[in-house]
Amino acid sequence: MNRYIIRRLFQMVITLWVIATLTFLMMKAIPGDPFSGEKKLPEQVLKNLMSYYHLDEPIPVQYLIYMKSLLQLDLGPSIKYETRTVNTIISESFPVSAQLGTQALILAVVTGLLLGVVAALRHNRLIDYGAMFFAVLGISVPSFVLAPLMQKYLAVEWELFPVATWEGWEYSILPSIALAAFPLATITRLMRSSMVEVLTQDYIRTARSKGLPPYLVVFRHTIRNSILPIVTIIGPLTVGILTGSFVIEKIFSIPGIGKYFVESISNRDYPLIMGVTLFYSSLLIFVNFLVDLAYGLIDPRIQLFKKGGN
Amino acid sequence: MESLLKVSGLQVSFEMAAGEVQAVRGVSFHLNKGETLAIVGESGSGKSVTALSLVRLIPSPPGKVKSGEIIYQGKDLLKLPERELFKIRGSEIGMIFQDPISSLNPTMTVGKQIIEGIRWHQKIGVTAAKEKAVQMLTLVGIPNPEKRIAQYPHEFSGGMRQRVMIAMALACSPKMLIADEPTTALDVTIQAQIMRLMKELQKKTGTAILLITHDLGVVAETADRVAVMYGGSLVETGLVSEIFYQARHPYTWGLLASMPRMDWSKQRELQPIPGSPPDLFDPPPGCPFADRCPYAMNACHEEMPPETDVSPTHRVACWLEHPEAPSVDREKAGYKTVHVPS
Repeated sequence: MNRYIIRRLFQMVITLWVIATLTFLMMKAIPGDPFSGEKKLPEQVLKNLMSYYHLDEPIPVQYLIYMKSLLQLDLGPSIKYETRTVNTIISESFPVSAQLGTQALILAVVTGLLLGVVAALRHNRLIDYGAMFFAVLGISVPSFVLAPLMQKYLAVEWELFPVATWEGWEYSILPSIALAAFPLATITRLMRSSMVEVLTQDYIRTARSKGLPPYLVVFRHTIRNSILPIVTIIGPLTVGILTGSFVIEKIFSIPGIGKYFVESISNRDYPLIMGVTLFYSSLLIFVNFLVDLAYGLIDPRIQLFKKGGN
Repeated sequence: MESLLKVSGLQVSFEMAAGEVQAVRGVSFHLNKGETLAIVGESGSGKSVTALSLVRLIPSPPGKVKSGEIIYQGKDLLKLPERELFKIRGSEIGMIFQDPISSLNPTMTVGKQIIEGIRWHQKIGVTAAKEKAVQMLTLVGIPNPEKRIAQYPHEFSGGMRQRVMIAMALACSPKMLIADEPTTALDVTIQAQIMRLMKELQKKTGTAILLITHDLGVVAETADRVAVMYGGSLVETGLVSEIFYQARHPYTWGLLASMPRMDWSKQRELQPIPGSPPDLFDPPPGCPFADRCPYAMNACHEEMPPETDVSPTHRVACWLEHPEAPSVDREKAGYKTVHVPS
């Protein structure tokens, strides 16, 4: 087990290094520089700035300089936000996005599983059709349509929730729902079809032949066997929630990390692009690692490492 | 002999998009305490559906029991509320199925799968139930049961899995075991082991076995009585000796003639029954076998033959039994040729 984890950690570092290198090269391939903004800077000022940020060095040298500071977990200074480092920007804005994302993910997984299970058990009945109707809506209505609609009705007209900004927990409700809609719908549909299939399996008939009542058959034999596809999709859904949060954060004026992710590119804020990309990547790599561990726990047939190996 | 289960006029249909499949069309039989009754028939003859409907385990919808009675110890299982049925399934009537690979839950240890049935029916503690499970695994001949109990189905071989299924089905000492093609998915050598095991356990526990199979070899070795099923109805029922040596239905002759024999020379070919079974979407009004029967008369195509008692234990549904029917030379028909020298 430990050996497996160490091997995976090593692979994760390699993956991150590849991502860092590719991002660095692609970023440098974008024309323009951080200072080619609207205002033309004096020649000498520009020269000083370029030299301050090591932008006048050849690209391989810049790469080595960046990698060296990365090894010390220093993501460098932001060029656009002159007074702040990339590390402070991430540590200030990420907790907000993390709270939003986690809430959305929990809401999506819990509600999605519940709806999926109910729809499967009432297969082809009214409740199933209802759940599937909302699932199709959730998948096809984009969050930038859903969010303003909720703001208009739930916040402005009926005054149930605050409209926007981030000043307390109640402010996080609407954005969490808006962010959760797509993954929730996806999980509902997937759980339903997975469970409908499992319900026709021979071992379900065996469980019933033992005289177990329906609730035990469902809890002990059906749900665990149906959940594997959901675990698989949690990885990609997390990506969706992370990147999707940019739109939601913008609509609800939430001071999260999404804004920096997108704006850093148009600003050519090189250290910020690198920093946020690497941060997101590590997060995703880690989520995938957790998903793989979860497989082994849920389905004993999936063996991640040899038992008794040392 | 005291009868344990009595089925009369059982009709089961499946409502499909294309129409109604009449899988079982009025089947009547009984099972005595401690005996083995084999229901034989080819694929699609309705034998598995009959077995599953006894404890109402056919997938529903689309499956539906249209009419009939299933009297188990004075209670009609078809009229019993679901709740009562949960007490009978597993504790009074155990079941084992064809494919032991897919019939065990892959994500649960075999121990837990045996224990959950025991605990549900007997309301005993985990330790006691576990002890019972180890006992059952020992009984069905699984070596190292204390260790094996914590393993998952994929860590067992096919034959061992079927032993686990048997242990599970017998854990609550049921009075009746429904075995739905228990050896079909196994190697021939393992088949013999499993059948011998079931026979031994039956001697020890006195459980009645309803054996569903298409393997006449298995039937000859294990059954006391045989019911031959064709096209959703029983065409002939009798003691093993009556079916093998004095069969009266042309379909039974056909079945016996298509079985390979040790004492036949290599040149002798097996005789298949020409034609194919009736379409159960639209079953013929007469005898289901009439289209393939070399002795078919007009009456056979028009009306279902009544059941005739040839002996107190032997019953056949065939128009040839009618007093006005032409006599068929059973010597020539071939049943004698399958006589097994004992």
